[in-house]
Amino acid sequence: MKRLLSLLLSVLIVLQPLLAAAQSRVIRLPEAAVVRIKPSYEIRSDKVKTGDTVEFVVVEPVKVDGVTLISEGAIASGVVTKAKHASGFGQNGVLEISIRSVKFPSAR
Amino acid sequence: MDGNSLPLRANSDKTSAGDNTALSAVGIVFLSVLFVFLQGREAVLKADKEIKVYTNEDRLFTVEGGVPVAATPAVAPAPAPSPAGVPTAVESQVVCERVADTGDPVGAKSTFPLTVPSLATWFQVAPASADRTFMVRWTCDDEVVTTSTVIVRANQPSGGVTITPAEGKTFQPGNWKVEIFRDGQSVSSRGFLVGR
Repeated sequence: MKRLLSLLLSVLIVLQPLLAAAQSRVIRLPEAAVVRIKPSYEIRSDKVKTGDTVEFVVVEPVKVDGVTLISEGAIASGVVTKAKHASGFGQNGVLEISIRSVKFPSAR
Repeated sequence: MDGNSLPLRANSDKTSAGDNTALSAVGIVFLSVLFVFLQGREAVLKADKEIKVYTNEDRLFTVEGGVPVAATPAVAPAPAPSPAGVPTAVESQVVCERVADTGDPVGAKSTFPLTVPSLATWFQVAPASADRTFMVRWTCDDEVVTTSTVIVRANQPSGGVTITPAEGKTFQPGNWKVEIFRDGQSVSSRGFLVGR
């Protein structure tokens, strides 16, 4: 009897993490959560024009409750909203980019 | 002696010609340097430049076995009620055509023609001893048009932001809303119409 109980206990201990993993839960990524990104390539005001799509890479995973919701390396995309070449008499170039979205590679 | 003077003149001429060449070279170098100085610099966002951005809306993730398998938009939570007697971070806001240099809203109204050149929101806050960051989100027919960050400096009583349509275009007509967030919480919103 004692043996049977200890066997059942062992089985439960082994299965517990598996059972927990099988359970699904919902995690909320709140608005205004910080996402750190960097451009996939150098973006120059003389190489892009307004309306161009530019690509960024997530450099730090975004985690909530220990679960990675946005992985490092995920792709974020943005749009060039203003690009003006540098010109003479000290007129520097202007580059404005609006970051629009990030893909969740882990989500189906 | 005449024979000697001629080469000297010739030498003199040659020297003179050499000087001119040198002067031209100096001139070209000077102009090049001047051009380089006067030429503006291109704006560059380097590949290793890290940028901090913020998510625009709540998102719910279904997690199975510790791995997110689905993401669905969530309805934004209602603004947290303020404790009694404590004013919200944003006391009032107006939507206006622009904000004058004096800080006064110009053309404050709730309906704007399609030809409005710019839209501004201007809000009053209680002055504080530290800088505060607000996020301003503009939506049209519930679609996010743009978001911006407004920093209200310490001891300043107000903040605002102005947006303009893309070059050669007008604002999208529809039911617009401007919403102000602080620490992820919506603290104020105002609806208005464009072109309808």
